[in-house]
Amino acid sequence: MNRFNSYREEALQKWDSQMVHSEIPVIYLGTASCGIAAGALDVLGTIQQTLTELGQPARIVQVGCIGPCYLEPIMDIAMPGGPRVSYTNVTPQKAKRILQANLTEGDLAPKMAKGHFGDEAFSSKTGIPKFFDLPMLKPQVRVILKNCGFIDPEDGDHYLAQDGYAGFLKVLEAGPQYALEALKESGLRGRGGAGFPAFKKWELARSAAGEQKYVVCNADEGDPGAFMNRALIESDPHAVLEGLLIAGYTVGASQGIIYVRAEYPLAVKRLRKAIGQMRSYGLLGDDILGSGFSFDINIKEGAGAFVCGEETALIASLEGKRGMPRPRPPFPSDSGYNGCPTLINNTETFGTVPAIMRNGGEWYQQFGVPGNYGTKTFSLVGKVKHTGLIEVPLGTSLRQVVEEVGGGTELPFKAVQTGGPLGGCLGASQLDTPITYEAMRDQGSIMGSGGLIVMDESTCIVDMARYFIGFALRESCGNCTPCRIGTRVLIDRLEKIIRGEGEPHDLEVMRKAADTMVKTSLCGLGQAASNPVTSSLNFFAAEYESHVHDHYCQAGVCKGLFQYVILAERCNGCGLCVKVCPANAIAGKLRETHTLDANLCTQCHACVEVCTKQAILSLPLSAEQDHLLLSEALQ
Amino acid sequence: MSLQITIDGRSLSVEKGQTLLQVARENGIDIPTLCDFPGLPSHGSCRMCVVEIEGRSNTPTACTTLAEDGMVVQTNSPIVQAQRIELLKLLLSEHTSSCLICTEKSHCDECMVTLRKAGVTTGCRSCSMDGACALQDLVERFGITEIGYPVRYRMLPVQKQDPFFDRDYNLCILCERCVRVCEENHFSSTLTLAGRGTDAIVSTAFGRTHIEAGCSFCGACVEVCPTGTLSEKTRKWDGKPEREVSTTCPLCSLGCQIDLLVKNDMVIGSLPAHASGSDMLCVKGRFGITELVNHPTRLGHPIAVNREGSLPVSWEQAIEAAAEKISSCAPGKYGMLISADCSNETLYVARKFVREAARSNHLRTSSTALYGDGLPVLQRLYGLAQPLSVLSEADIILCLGFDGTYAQSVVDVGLHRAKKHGAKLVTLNANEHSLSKAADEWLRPEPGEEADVIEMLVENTRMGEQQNRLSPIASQAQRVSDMLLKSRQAIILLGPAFLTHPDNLFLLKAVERLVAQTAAQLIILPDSANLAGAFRTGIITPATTAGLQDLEVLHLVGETVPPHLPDQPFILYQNIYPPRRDLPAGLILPAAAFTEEDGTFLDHAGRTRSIQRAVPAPGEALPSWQILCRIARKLGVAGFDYENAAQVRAEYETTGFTGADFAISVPGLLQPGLDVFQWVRREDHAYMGFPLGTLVAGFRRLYPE
Repeated sequence: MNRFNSYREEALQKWDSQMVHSEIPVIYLGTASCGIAAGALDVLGTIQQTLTELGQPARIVQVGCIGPCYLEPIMDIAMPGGPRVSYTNVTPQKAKRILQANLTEGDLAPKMAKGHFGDEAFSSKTGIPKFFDLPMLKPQVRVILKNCGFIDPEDGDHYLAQDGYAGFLKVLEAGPQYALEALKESGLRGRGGAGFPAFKKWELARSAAGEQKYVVCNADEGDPGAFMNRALIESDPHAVLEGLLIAGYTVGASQGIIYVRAEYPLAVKRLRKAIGQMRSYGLLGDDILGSGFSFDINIKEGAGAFVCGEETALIASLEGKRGMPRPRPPFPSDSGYNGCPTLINNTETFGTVPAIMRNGGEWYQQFGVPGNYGTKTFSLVGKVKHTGLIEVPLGTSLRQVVEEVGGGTELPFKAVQTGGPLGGCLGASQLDTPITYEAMRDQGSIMGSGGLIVMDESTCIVDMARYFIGFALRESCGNCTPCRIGTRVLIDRLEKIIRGEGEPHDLEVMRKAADTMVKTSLCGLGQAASNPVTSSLNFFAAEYESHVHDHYCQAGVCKGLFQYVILAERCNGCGLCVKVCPANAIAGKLRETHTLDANLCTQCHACVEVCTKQAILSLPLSAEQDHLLLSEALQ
Repeated sequence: MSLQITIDGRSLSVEKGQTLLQVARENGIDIPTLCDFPGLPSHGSCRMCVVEIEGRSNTPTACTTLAEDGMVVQTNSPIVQAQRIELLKLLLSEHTSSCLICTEKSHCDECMVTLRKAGVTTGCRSCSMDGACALQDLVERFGITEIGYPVRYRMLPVQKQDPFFDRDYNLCILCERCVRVCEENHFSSTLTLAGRGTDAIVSTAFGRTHIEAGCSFCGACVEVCPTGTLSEKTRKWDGKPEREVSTTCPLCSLGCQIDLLVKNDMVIGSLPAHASGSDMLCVKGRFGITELVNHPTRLGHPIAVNREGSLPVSWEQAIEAAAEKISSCAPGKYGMLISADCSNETLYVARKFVREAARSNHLRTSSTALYGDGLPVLQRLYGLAQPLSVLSEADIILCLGFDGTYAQSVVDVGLHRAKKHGAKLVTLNANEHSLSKAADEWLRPEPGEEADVIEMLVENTRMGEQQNRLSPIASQAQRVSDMLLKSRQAIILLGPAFLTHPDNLFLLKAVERLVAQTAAQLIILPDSANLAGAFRTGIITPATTAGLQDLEVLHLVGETVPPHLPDQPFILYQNIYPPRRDLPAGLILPAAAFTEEDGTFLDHAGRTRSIQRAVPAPGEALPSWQILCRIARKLGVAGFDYENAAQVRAEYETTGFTGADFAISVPGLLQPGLDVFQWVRREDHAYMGFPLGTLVAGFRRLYPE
C-alpha cells in the first residue's frame, strides 16, 4: 500500500511538473484511431520535424479522442503559463504554421484556434472561445470521457494523477458491500443496451456459489458506425481496467477477461500496455496492495462476430466454441465461463464504475433523470454537421442531440437510427423522445450500445432498412429458424422493392416474418433484427408505399426508381455537374441552364453531390407526376 | 422441491429443473418439435415448440424454458399455432417443398411410381426419406397448403464422396441433431455448424470429407436426421421397413444388440436396439450387415466340384456324396476346420459330428493359429473377463492395443464416458489410435517392444513406488504404475491387436501378473464373434497330437479354403459365400447367415446373446448345424434329430466340455510347411473367413490394403 502511495505521489508530481506547470510548451495531439485515420500521424511527423528545425524544446503528448470527429486531427498547444489552445482539422502545413506562430513569434494564431481550456479572461483577451463552449460540446457532460483527450493513455502515471484507482482504494477500504450500495444508489444500468441494473448483476454474481468466479468486460463492439468502446479504451484504458478490478473484488472473482474485437488493434495494444502498468503498480497479481485479494486480467480477442456481443455467445466464444447464444437460465451469474459464476458488463459500464466509487452513488444521480441516472456515450454519425463521440445525460431529447450537439443536417432531417443495427429508425415526429431505456423501447427502438446514425432527405429509408437487415443476416449465427430464414425473407422482399418490383402484399409478408422473428427468436439479435424494418414501416410507410405503388424513390438512391432532372429555376449554370458527370449526360454552357439526358445518366449521384443550388432533383419516371412535382418544387 | 404450474388449464405439480416440454410430455400434452430428440440435450433451434406464457410478450420455446412456480402456459392457443405455422413455412421456404404443398400429392404415388430414384432431391417424391420425414408429418398436422415466403434452394452439391452415407444439405433444416449426437453422445466433433446467417450449414471442419475429418461412421447422425439430408447409400431407396427384428451383431465379440430392419423379406438396414439399452453401433454393425447378408455372391444351392468343373446338385445328392466320402475315409483322415464366427449351436453340433459321425478327433479353428502361442493364457484370462459395463466403476483404465477408430468405436464411447466421470485413461499402442488425444498417458513403445513396457508396469507395481527414471517411456510407465497402485478400481482392456500380437504369449502372461498385482478387472475384446463359445465347446484347445496333414476329407465350416494344401483332400466347403479360390474336388454346401437362423453366441464376457431368424435364407441355404445333422443322419448316426435350434441349445447347455477331446499339438503348429494353418493371415475384421473389405465396398476405404 505504501509503495502504491509513493507511485501516486510520483505520478502527481510528474503531472504537475510536466503538464500543468511545464517549463516548455506542451503539444497535445489526438492519436486514437479516429485521429490517426484523419492524418494525425502525418501531423505528428511534421511537429517533430518542425521542433527540430526551430530548435525549440517542447513536450509532445499523444492523447486520446476528445470527441468531435469532424474536427480531427486536433492539435493543442499549451505555452508555459498559458492554457491549452485547440487547433482543429490540422494538416501538416497548418501544423507547421501554428507551431511557428506559437513558438517563435509568441502568436497564438487565434484565427486558426478553435477553442481553449482556460478561463473567461483568456477568452476576452484573445477572442478564442472556450473549447467546451463550442455548440457540440456545450450540452455534453463528461463523466465517462473525463480523461479522454487529456491524458496520455499509454502512460499509467497520467491516470494515477487524475485520481486513478482512487475508486478501487475506496472500495478496498470500505468493503464490497460499499461497492454494491454505491452502485445501487447510483442506479447505473447496463450500458450494453439492455439496461439491466448493474448492481443486481453484481449482487447475483457475488452471491452465486462457487470457488472460481470470473468478471468479463464486453468490448466486442460490433454495431456499424459505433465506436464508443473503442474510443474509451484507446483514450482511457485504465478506467475500464479499474472498473474490472473493482468488479472482481466486489463479486469475489480472481480472474478478469476483456473480450475485445481483434479489429481494434490499437485498443488491444493499449490494454496490454495498461495491464502491464497495473502489474507494476501492484494492482494485479497475488495479494493486491496487501488486501489478500488476488486478481489478474486476460485479453481475449474476438474474431469479428457481431453475435459474440451477446453475453452467452461471448462466453461460448471465450471457451473456444462457436459463438452462439444459448438459452437462459442459467444466467452467466450462475453458470458462465467454464460453468463458473461470471459477471459480464459492457466496457462503458465498467468505465463508469470508478467515478461512482470515487464520488459515491448519490453524486451520480445528479446526471440524468430518475430511473435513468447518469450519462451515456453515443457515436453520433451520419448526415449531422458535427459527428463524433458524445456523452450526454440520459433524458436528453433526441432533438437536442441531433440539432444542438450534432448541429443539425445540411438537407432537411429525415430519420435517426438509434441503437445500432438492431435498433429502430425514428422520424422527425419522434425527435422529442427523451433518451431513456423505456422511452426508446416505447418508440419501437432500443437504447442499444450507443450508435446514432442521422439521416437526411438524401437517404432512402428502404435502402437503409436493407442495409441493416443485410447486416443482421450476415451476422445471424444461424441457430434459430426465425432469425436465419426471417432475415433472408426480409432482405429478399426489400431488394424486390428496391428493384421496383414490389407488390403491396410484400409489406404484409415482411410484417408477418418480422412478427415471428420478434416473438420466437432465442437471443436479442433475432428478436431485434427486424426493428429497422418494423420501425421504418411504421414511421415511413409513405416512402415504402411510394416505392411499391409508384415505383418512385424520392431520395434518389434506388436506381431505376427515379430520374434526375435539372430544375431550370435553380440552376445557375456553374458547370460543376458537367465536369463531374462520368457519363457525359449533362450538357450546357457556363451561366446557362444545364440539361440532363436521362438516357445517358447512370444515376451515380455525383452531380447531386457537387450542386450547390440543389438544382438536381430526383423525380418519378412517369410524366404527369413529373409535372406535379415540378410545380410543387417551384413553390 | 415441487412447483405448481398450469398448462392448458391443467394444474400440474412439477420438479424444479424440468423444462416445459418435459412436463407437457409427461402429462400427455402434445407439443410439436423438430430439433428435439430423445437422449439429446434440449437445443431450441427449430423454435417449433413455442408456447405462450402469461406475462411474457414473446413466445418462448417449451424445450428451453424451465418451469417456474405459478407459470401459466398455453401450448395450443391461436397465437402459438399461428407462430408455429409461420415457423414451419419459413423452414419450408428453404427446403425442397414442392411436393409438400402440391395439391396432387395424395395420389401422386399412383402415377409416378418409377420416378423415385434421383441424384438430386427436388421434392418428397425424389427424397429417400419420403414417408418418414418429420417435416411431412408437421405439414400434414398443420394443413399447410402454401408457403407464402420467397423460397430459396441452397444450390449445394450433394456430398457423395464418403462411404456408407450421402449428405444433401439442400434439405437440411439445421436442427443440429446430428451435430449434437456426434458431440454429446459420441464424444466426437466431426460435425459442426459452419458459416453465418444464410450461409450457416452443418459441415465438417473446413468442409473436408468425413474420412478426413475423423468420423468413425457409427451412423448416429444418419439415424437422428429428421429429413433426407443424411441417407444411407444402401437403403436410400428402400423406403420404410415393414418390421424390425432384434438380434445380435456377429461381427466381433462385443455382442451389440441390433434391430434388423426388414422389408420384403430382405434386411434393409440395422440400427442399435434402443429398446434393449443399446444406444450405438460401430460401422460394422451399422453399415456392414446389410451388404454382408445381401451380398450378390451369396450361395443358394449345393454344387459339386470335380476336375471337369462344377455342377449344381440337389441337397439329397450333396448330402449323399458327403456322407459317402466321410464313411469311405480312412480312420483319422477326416478333419474339420470351423470358424469361431459360428453360433454355439453350430459349434456344438460340429463337435458332436466330428466325434460321433466322422469318428475323428481333428476339429480345429483358424483362431487357434490366430491367437497362436498365447492361447492357453488367453483361455485362462477368459475366466476373468468382464462386460463393458464395468467401465463406469473404474478410476483408471489401461487400454492395451485397442483402437476404436472405426470398428469397436462403441468401446471408445464407453471410455470417453468413463473419462468424463473422472477415470484416467492410459493407452499402450505403438501407432496413432482413436484415443491418442483423449488418453491421459499414451505409452508409445516402438513396434514390437510392447512387452517391455508391460514388463515395466508389472515390475513397478510389484516393487511399489520407485524414483529411478531412465528413459522417457520408463518414467511414463512409472507414472502409470503409481496411478495403478493408487487406484480404487483399475480396468485392463485388451484390444484385438494385442490379443493377436506375435508376442502374445509373453504379453498375456505379463497381463496375468499385472491383473493379479493390481486386482484390476479385465475386459477382453477379440475380433472373433464367438471365441468364448469356441472355448466353451473345447474346439480351441492347446493340447497335443499330430497336425492335420494327410487328410482325405477336409470339412470347412465358415472357413475359407487354405492355399497350398499339403495334399489334395476332398473338400466339404460349407459357407455363405463361394470359395475365394477354385476347389480341386469337393462339395459346396450353402449355409445360412446369422440373419437367417436362430441361435446363440457367447460374447466377450461369456454372456449368452441370441440371434433370431429375420428373413429366409437365399435359395436352399440351410443353417450350418442342420447341414451337419443331415450328413450325420445319412451316415446312420443317431442323436442328430434336432427339430430346431432350441433343442440343440438345450443339449449344449447341459453338456460339460473338456478340451481333452481334441488333443492337438502345439509344437510345430505354426511352422511353415507342416500345417494347414500357416496360411492364416492376421486379418482383422473378417466374417466367415472373408475380410469385410472384400465384401463391403466402404470398408476398403476405411481399411485400405
